[in-house]
Amino acid sequence: MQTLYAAGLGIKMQQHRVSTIANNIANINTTGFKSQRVSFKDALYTRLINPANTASAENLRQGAGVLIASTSRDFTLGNPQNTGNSLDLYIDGNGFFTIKDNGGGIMYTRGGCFGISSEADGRYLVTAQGNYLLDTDNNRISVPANTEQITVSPEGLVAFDGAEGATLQIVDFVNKEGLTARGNGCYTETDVSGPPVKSSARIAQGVMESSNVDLAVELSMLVRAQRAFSLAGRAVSVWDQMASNANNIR
Amino acid sequence: MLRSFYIAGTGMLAQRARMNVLTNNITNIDTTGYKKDTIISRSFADLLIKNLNDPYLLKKSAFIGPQNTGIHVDVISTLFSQGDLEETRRSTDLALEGQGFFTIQTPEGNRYTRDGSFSIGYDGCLITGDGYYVSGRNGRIYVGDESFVVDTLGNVTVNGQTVDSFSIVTFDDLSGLRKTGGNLYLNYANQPVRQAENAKVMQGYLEGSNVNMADEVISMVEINRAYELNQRVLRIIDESLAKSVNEVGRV
Repeated sequence: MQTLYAAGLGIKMQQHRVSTIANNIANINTTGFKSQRVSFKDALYTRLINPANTASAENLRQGAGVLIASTSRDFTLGNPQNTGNSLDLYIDGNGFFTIKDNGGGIMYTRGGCFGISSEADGRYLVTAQGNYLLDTDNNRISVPANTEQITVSPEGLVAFDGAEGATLQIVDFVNKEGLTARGNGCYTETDVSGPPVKSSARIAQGVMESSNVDLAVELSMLVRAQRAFSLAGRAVSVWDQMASNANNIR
Repeated sequence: MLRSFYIAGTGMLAQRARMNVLTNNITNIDTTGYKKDTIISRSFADLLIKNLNDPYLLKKSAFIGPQNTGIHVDVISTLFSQGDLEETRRSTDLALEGQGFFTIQTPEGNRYTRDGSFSIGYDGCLITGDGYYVSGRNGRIYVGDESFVVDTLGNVTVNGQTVDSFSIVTFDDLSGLRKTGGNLYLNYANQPVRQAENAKVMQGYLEGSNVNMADEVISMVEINRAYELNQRVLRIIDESLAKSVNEVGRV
């Protein structure tokens, strides 16, 4: 029976992997998307039941299949794409924009296609989902009325028609993979990620970061996952034949 | 007659154990640094068959000859051949070329692994996927961020300064290592740990498993047929016994 469970695990794990690959491929055009990668580890080993030679029982350990060790995100920089929109911002290096989530908490994002939201108490810089962009004092960045031109310096200083306004809060984390993904390219800090530290990466205006998904890599991973999946399936059908042989002895 | 029952039975049990090991190999075909297991079977000691009470004894000795009594699984051994290196270009991915293991600190003591897919913890030190620290010369390896460089001898350079080096070790007898899951090995036989001289550390690469798909598929077919063959023997013996019980001496 252990064969069946081990092979079953193999099938399940490869399915997870295919889901991750499919998600990566689906996000091949998402601004600032960071691809995910699944890595495996072997499962616990148990001693063979009733070995003939108990003296060498320690040498008779069989494995129980495979488990997912981690699903890690690859924070490699995506390629810059010129768009010409003054509110498309690109962080050239390690770093995240700081935004406010709907519950009042702080989130971080690479996605730099911002817009202006007109509200009752003024106009503010927001993300495509409507989250406020925050400055170095964790305040929303207000856009004065009748502003024609917004410029952002490489250090993140926002100027409205030449008049200097707030500075964008750009931070980085020691362990980016420890960040929790909240969807829409937003992340929140955790114990494992470490606290945010100021990032010295430069901002480019009028440039958008593409997704860092490499289609060639994902497709070759897909083929490998498919092969591993069918191999595990093969093991299940061979086990099935063996079991039916055993059942048909008499 | 009954002896053959048990002999065929041992054959089936051994093939089943081989199938378990093979399936574990197959499911780990994409596990970083996995080393495949093989089963080594051995025959039980032969029985010497003696002729009892034969009035027509022609030979001097009553002994007819040795008879085999079946096989059992003797050892499940791990094959430590090199897996293929795959380039990932991540600075935290490391692969070992040649014999050697990374040293990992776990709550239960030191463990060893070939799996070099590390990441940077919140304190800036290198950790494994399970969160265990990787050992350098004196404990944890601090790298800060992903811009560190590792040369082929395992020396870690951060901002131009060589700050640490990986503890790459090996053992005289690799069969004294035991897999404990999570891609880790335990030095079960308590062998002395020595520095690995022939291991090269490759940054930006991962070592694949050394499971060969073709070999495993062929073995699967072989095991299936061997199992079937043993089952056949059992059936034939069963039918013969049925005959001797039910038909011989029927009035």
